[in-house]
Amino acid sequence: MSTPPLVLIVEDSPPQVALAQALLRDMGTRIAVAETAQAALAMVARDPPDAILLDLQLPDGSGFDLMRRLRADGVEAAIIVVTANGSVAAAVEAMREGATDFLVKPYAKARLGVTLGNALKVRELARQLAAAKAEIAPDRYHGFVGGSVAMRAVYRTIESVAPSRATVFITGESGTGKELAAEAVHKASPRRAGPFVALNCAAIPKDLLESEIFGHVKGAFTGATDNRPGAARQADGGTLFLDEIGDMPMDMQVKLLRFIQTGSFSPVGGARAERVDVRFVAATNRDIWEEVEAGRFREDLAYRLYVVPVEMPALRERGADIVMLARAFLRTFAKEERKAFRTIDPDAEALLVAYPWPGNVRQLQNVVRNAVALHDGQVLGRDMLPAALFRTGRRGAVATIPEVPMPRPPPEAPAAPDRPPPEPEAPLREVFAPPLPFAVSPAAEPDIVPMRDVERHAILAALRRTQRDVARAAVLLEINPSTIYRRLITWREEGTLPAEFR
Amino acid sequence: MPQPALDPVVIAQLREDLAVEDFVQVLGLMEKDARDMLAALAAAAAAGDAERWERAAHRLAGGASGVGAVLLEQQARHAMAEGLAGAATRLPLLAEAVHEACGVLQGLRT
Repeated sequence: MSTPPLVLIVEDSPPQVALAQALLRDMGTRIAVAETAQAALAMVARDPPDAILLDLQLPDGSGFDLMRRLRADGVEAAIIVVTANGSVAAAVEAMREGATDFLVKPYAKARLGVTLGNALKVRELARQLAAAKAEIAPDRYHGFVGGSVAMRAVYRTIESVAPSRATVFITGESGTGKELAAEAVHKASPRRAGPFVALNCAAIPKDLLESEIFGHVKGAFTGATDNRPGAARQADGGTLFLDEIGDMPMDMQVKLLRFIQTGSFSPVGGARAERVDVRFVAATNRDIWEEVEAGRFREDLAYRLYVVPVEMPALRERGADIVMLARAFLRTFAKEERKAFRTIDPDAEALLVAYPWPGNVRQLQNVVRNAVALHDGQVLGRDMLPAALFRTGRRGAVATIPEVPMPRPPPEAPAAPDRPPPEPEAPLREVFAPPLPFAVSPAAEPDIVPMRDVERHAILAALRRTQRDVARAAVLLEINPSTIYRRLITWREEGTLPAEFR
Repeated sequence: MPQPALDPVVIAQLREDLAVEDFVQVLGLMEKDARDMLAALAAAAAAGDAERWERAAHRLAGGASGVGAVLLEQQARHAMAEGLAGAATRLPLLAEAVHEACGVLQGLRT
């Protein structure tokens, strides 16, 4: 069942708030109230509403300013301006500034219902349009280049999770663009106007990490000559990205856990706790659950962080993206180096596609940069590429690359005793072809089975193959992860969900 | 014919749209808020605080319009337009309008 729409009433007059609440009560919405513009901003950041009933004059500012700020922050809620008789002109102005509609006081319940219903419909259509546009031109997304199935799944996940406050946990091999993904989460979120602060936990000496994250007060330690805010304070109102989280020392993990749980922290040497409003994004190229099992990472912290996993695909899994990326890098570096390069020779492109790219996008970037720096011409040819690319052979030779540990799902869904052992990932047709009743045989027409059974079989097979990793299963099936979640909920409610998935 | 303190059409609509307890609550809150805003206007006039005067007048007008207190809304809008300059003459008229509207609101609640 979907969550009822959330309506935020932004109004400082108690009788008007009570009236709006009473009228909305049986309209199937959730209701929140903010009496000031500041409170409204905080509430929108915490729990983005679907619609806002906005009074134009608030104790701490104008409703116009609040609306401009919300729109600038990327808030897509339907905004309905509520105004009194004398200020219809203001309502018209509000429409020009991005309001969805307006209500003139006194308004009847029926009028409120129609206005709100229409506004929510308009918002849903706008959302669908944006999603459709993303599907039509899916090869660019917040700095990413590539329209492969694997990357489109990443874009969809980021787009879905960005509006919420949920912690995002990004995994993937080195050079796959984990920081870019973290930035994309920030840019696609209502916090985009706030700061994005990135901290590489592996690059900071152990004894400085606490000060880097939480800051310090003057005199906290030798050399602390002044109060200094840390990344947590700097990220207030925005996003804090903790890269290489798997390298964080155990004593810092305890402090980070407390910070995530309470939203407050104490700077090094400080006595008073400070509270900030921060959205967390973490990343690692390690298998965090293996780190937990080995006792190097706290399980409670892992659960706090591993809320929405985003797995960055290796470049070798991204097919045509390789050429698209290479061309984009060529344009950038040719401009930087003031060279004439315009295109890549088809033979060179074939070589790039065949290479397994153990260093991922970063390695491809370096190869193109070197070729541009060391050569001249308009076309980047095979002979300009490094010899290593010729030695590795076709992409089938990926097995020669050292295996990089990939994250497994959290142990909250323990393996059923009869669960089949994990098999190497394969194209989906290999995953579910053998057990299907219509398995293609040259001798006979396949039996016909209901589509829902086909779908169920495919989804369960993909989940088994990926050890219940919904995002990866969705990539294999080339569907949206939310489709899998919806089916699982339905089967759970029907009581038909196999025990291993409960 | 003198204008009624509360627009009967608006009151009838509120009665139709709201449960009895909500109707009583909204009118009670309006009554309290009107008195609070009148006090805030008087305090703003005494302190020469133009911003507070305008905020209170706006809230009074908005609240009044929500329950169809037409005369009170008109007085509050005059207060907004005149600002502090008209406070001396406007305050007694506002007090009278608040008193009248609250009397009717009280009568409707009981």
